[in-house]
Parts: sequence; structure tokens; C-alpha cells
Amino acid sequence: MSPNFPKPHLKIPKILLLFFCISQIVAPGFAFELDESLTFIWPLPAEFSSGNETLSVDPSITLTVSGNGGNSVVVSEAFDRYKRVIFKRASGFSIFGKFRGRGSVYDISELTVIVHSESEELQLGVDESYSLTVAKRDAQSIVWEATIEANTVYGALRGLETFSQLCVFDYGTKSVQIYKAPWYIQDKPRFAYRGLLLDTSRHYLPTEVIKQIIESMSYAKLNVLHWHIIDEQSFPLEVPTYPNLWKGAYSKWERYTVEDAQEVVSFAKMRGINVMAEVDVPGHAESWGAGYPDLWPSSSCREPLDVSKNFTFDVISGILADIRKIFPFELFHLGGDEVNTDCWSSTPHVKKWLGDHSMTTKDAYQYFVLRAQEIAISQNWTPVNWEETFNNFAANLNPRTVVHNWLGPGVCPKVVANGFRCIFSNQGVWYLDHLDVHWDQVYTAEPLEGINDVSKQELVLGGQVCMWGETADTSAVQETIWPRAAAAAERLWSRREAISTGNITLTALPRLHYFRCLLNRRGVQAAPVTNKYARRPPRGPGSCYGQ
Amino acid sequence: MEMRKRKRKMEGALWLLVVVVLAVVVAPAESAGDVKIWPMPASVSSGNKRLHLSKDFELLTQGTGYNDASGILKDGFYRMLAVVNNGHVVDGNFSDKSSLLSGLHVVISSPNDQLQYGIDESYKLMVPSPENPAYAHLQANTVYGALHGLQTFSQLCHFNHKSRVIEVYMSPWTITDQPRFSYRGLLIDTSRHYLPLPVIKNVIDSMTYAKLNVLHWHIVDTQSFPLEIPSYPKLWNGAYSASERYTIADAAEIVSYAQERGINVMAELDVPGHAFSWGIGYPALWPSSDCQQPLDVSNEFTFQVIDGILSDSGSFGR
Repeated sequence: MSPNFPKPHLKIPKILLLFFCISQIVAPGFAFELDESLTFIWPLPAEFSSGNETLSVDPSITLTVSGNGGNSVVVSEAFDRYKRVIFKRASGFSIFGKFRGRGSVYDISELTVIVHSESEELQLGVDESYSLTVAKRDAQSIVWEATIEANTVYGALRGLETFSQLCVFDYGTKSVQIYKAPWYIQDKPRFAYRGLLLDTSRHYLPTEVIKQIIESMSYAKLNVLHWHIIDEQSFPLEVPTYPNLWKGAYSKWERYTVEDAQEVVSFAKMRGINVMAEVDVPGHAESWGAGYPDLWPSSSCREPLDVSKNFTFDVISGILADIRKIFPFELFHLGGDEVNTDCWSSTPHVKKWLGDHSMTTKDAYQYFVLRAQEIAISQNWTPVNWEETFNNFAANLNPRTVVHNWLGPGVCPKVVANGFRCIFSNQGVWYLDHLDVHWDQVYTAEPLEGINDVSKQELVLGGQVCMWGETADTSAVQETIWPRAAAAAERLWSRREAISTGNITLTALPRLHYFRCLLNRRGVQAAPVTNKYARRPPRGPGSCYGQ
Repeated sequence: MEMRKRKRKMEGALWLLVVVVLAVVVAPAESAGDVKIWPMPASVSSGNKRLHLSKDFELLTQGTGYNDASGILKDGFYRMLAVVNNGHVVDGNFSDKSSLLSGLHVVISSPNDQLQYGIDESYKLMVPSPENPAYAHLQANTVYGALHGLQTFSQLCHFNHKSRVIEVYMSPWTITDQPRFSYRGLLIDTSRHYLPLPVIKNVIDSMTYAKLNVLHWHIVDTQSFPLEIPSYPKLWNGAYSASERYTIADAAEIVSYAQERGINVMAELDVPGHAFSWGIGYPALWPSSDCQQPLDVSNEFTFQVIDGILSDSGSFGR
């Protein structure tokens, strides 16, 4: 029932026009109405039921807390945040008083949040489950109540996000309403690791931008920010022990102080998001030599880092010791991908060192990675490495290693068969800089594909979409990340059976459209869903719900 | 004869030297390329001293003629500080008192804060104030000139990665500024695509960074009619969807958000063309059901609707 805008010289058959006119009279609705049979919560909760009543929500809604964790500032700050998101319009006061909604008695004036544990520790596998109930106090009551109950404050955060998605601004009454009450929602994520990679080396992203991205992650219940801070092109992070390292930044303004990094970590924690830092070695590290040229094999051959020098490992130790104080997350990424060892074999002093130690370049690669892992482990970290390390020397890789798949499909099955834990980031479907990957390819990618043994499935921690920065700077990053990251977010949170059956054009696409428009309403520049290429602008005018 | 010629040559050379020296000393220390303020102010002079902002940088208003009852100045000042501070955590030590700026003294002569086309947007900014070097001084005829001065001040401020404080380079600054044109506008089109309120507010904030001062809001067009018109409540049936709409209160909020940033909102109601969407709610506005633009000139109803829209719009803007 979309209104066809009259194009010049278009002859519209009279019968269609008649239908069109009648449809306008009979159902003066819009081109885009919601399919009532779908549930517009993203990601889809594990278990839920709803009704058919409509409730009004008080703009002065108050928070009541209980439980050992109820008084946490994580909960109270989140409540204030979500209150601003839910009631972002002017309070419904209208100069035209007669158009105001009914009187000021609201169905829901209070939100109760019960948190059982007082612990605010945020680590991999923290309990993120919650129940959200919007129902009458009892069968005879006329009083409605909204309650979130969770074991941890982070479960409460997930519940608050879901609650915020139930609240919708109604234009008729100019008030916020909850449709399809009563709601009974019991929810928890399928995977503990649901990540987004940000690359601040190929382009510097100001801390303000990183915070906006973290905020948008919380809307889709993503919970790990993989911060790929440094790479070949620039070294923007302050390392107090080796203060020349950040001379490798693009410019003196495109840098993060230690305090900036701490602020990012604490901003993320308040949203239940862990930050996993990556210091990629020995490849992808040319920028380290801007401040310390000794780290280069030679001035004309600058990657990988010089394996023959103890200085190299002193610097790595210094970096890891400094940033251990910034990043409390138990996982730390050491990279180890795309190592081209030509500069080792062609630079005389390194070649000599290899000979002295009876190492091939491949041996040296293994030696480097393992030595770096030891440093991370000594800092009480669990190392994560890109899959090349597994592909090249699985037998010698530290058994605590988490292998990060990226090269293609079918990797996690091999990784878990060898007893390692795996993170799924198959570049064919979950690299967001691959602009030709469509939302449905992102949505249907399955981290457990090819893994049928339940005990092996448990070794897959989860997965991650990767926003590499070669062609994504501040001006482009959010429209490249969204809405496709949301497709992955649901794949990682929601129950597999619920999202893997049926025709996703009917069951998922309308809901993703709705979620994209929700992101837009919250100020996130999510690109059109159905474009052929990601982050392209819309080709013409239209509703958010149809593009 | 020889002696006189040589003397004259020497005198000439001496004069040349004097002129050159004067030119170097009196001219602004930097050329236009070095002054990183955008837009370039009408006149700028700077020096080579570095100052730094106190952690409790404050707003002083002694001697001002403007009472700021509506909070436009105060809110603008705190917005400016937030922008200056938002890139990095500022936690250095402020040991050098001789280069410390404790605040900004703002003096506005007019008590009036009515925002109109052609108001005085000039300002003069001195960092530091010649009378009181612990403060910078901003004077303007209207609060809107002062807002522009705050914007310029924010562009003088930089985070220093070594000392971890906010600094002002190249002081002392004396900036006298006013716009060349009174109408410096940006058009946004919310009919071809609905733009949510937070997005429009972001656009308004970004306009202030470049001292643009008119938001031309092209609200409705052929494709959609997103605005509530209480006198003709079916008009916004022409919106793309139920949620891609602006209530009257939404529009009023945009106007007031813009006004307290010194930006006028000029609403556009395009007639008689570009108005197909009006007929979704009131098909009588179309010449016929298969010829739907322009608005029907022969129907008195058309002008009643226009009248209704204009008077309803008057309630949220001017």
C-alpha cells in the first residue's frame, strides 16, 4: 500500500487508482505499518510472551531498587541514561491543550530493579541474564508494575535496554506507551563474547567518537570492544615507560593519553562492556620504530619487529606492564597475523641471529609469538591470537590461547577439535569493511557451524564483527558499522533455533528495519538496511522503514 | 655633488630600513595562514606567549548590561567549556601562575535577547584582558555576538599532551569580529528523509561551530508531510510512517534549541508545487485524483489550509 508518487507521464490504471483511493479512505494509514505478529525487540530475547493491552508510561517514572546490588551506581546511572533515551521529546506539553493526551494518571510510574549480587566485577562470562515483567500486580489488580530482576548489575543493564525498546512514543496521545502488555521476558545471551573491533591506527578516532560507538554497542547488547590501538600506520597511545613510542602517531593531536584510555575503559564498564586491547606483534608494527628505530630490522626494512634483539622484548614488556594498569579485562590480544618474515631473512644481523639459533624464519615467528605470550601471561592475562598462529604451530601454542578466526569459514571446528577456545570473525561475512556483504549474509553466519559435539561447542566463546579503519574514519565509521553489526549482535545473543528457521525476509528484515530506525532516532547514523553496498546513502527519498 | 648624491642614497636606504622595521614590528605576528580560527575574524592580532586555562575556569559578568535571565550566556559558556575539554582528560598541574587564565569576563551592552534578522553579532575578544591579565575579556553589543566570541575563544584552546592542560597559544590576542552578511544559512530537507530530533540538534550545534545563523527548515515536500498541523490534523497522514513525524512541541523545541544558540529558524512551506503529500490527508487539495500537483488554485479550501498551516506554525516560530 505504498503511495506511488506520480512520475511524469506515468499512466496509472484506473482500477489501481480506485483501489488506492479506497485504501486511503478505508485505512488512512501510512505506507509502513508494523507487522503485529513480530516482536520488535532487538536482539530477540530468549523467551518472551506478550498480550494486547496498551499502557502509558509516566515521564517522571521513578526507580526503586532492591537486592544486594540494587544500590549500584551502574544501575542508577543507566536508569537516568535510559530515561533520557525513552523520554527524549518535549514532555508532551502542547500549546494546544486540547490535543493533550488523557489526564496525568499513568499505568507505569515506577520501575523496580532487583539485583541479587553486589559484585560489579566485569569479566568474560559474567551473568547477563535478566527477567523483565510488565504485568498487573495480580489477577484482580488494576495496578500495573514493571520489574527487572537480574543476578548482576550487568544483567540489569541488559534488562533496561530491553525495557527501553518496549517504550514507544505515541503521536496520538503524545505520550510514551508500552504496547502488547503484559510482557513476560526471560533473557540471556547465547554467547559470552559478542564483540566489535575498532581500529584506531589506520585512522585516529577521537575519544568522543569511541564513546558514541560504545553507547551504540549497548543498544544491541554487544559486550566486548576489541580495541586494535596500534598498527603499521600509526602509534597513537601513550606508553609512559617508552615515551617516544607515540611519536609514531599521525600528528601530535591524534593521540590517546593514558587517562584517555582509562576513560574509555570506565565509560565502557558502566555499560557492561569489556575492552580487550590489542598490541599486534611481530607484524603490523612499523609505527613502533618512529620513536625507536632499533626496533626495525633496518631503516629500509621495517617489519616485522626485530626478533634478534632483547630490546624488542623489553619494549613489549614495558608496553604490556603499562597498559595492564589500564585494561582489567582478562583477555589480551597479541595479534600475530600476516607476518612477512622477508626483512628477517634479508637483514644481515637478523639472518646471522637466525643461523646462530638454528631457526628458520618460521621458527622465529613461533618463537616471537610464544615469547610475547609469556609476557602477557606474566601480567596475568589470557592471550588471544589471530588464527595464523594456530595454523602454523598449533602444537606449540600455549594451551590457554584463545584463537581468533578471521581468514575464512571452517576454522573454529579445527580450533576446538584441538582443545583451544575460538572467537569467530570469518572475514567473508563479519568484516564490516567489506562493503559488499549484505545484512542477510551477516545474519545467517553461524559461529557453531560444523561443530556438533556440545563439549566442543562450549569452546567457542562467541564472535566479533570487525571495523577495520583503512577506509573508515570518524566521518564514516558509524554508518559502516550499523546496521550490519546489529545482524551479528542478534546471531550472538539470541537462541539459535529462533533465528535460523523460516524466511528471514519476513521474520528478521522488518525487525532489523525497525531497529535501524530506532538507532537513527537515538542519533546513531545507521545506514539504509537494503542497500547493495554498505554505508551508501539512500538512492532517493523514502521512509526509514523501507530503505 | 658626489657627496650629496651619496647622502641622498643613504637617506633613502635609511628610510627604507625604517619602513621595513616598522612593517615587521607593527604588522600582525602571523599571516592569515597561521591563524587557525574558522571563519577568519574581521581583524586579528596575536603574539607568541602561551597561556593555560585554570581547572575552574569561570565566567565573570561584572559591569554587563545583560541579565541573562534566560541563561543563554551561561549555557553557552558551559557548552564552550565542555567542547574545549571533551577531547582529553585534563589533569595536569597548574604551577605557572604567570600564564594562568582564571576565567572569561563577558560584558554585553544590550539587555535585549530577542533574536532577529540583522541583529548585531559583533564582538571583541582580548586574551588576556589588558586590565586584568588573569582573565580574558569578551565584549559584545548583544548576547548573540557574545556567543560568537565564545565560539572563537574555544578555537584558541588546545590540549597540550605534555602538560595535560588546556592552553591558548600565540597570546596576546585581540580579535574584533563581525559578519559580512547577516544571513548565513543552511537548508535541511526533512521531507525526502525524516531526520530525528537529536540529529537536527546535532546539525544546529555544528552550525554554531562555523557561525552559521539561519536554519532553513524545508519541512514538507512532495514525498512526505511530517509536521503536525492541529487545525488540519489529517495533513500529517502524509508522513512516511506513524513515527516519522514532528509534533508541534517537537518543532517548538527545535526553534528554542536554535534560538539559544543564536540561530534563526526559517520554516519553508513550499506552495503550490512540491505539495503532493498534502493530499494524502485531504485529497480535495489535489486538482484531481490522477493529477495531483500543484495544489488546486481554484479551490478556496486550498487557501484555508494554507492559512491554517501558517497560523499554527506561528505558534512555534516567527
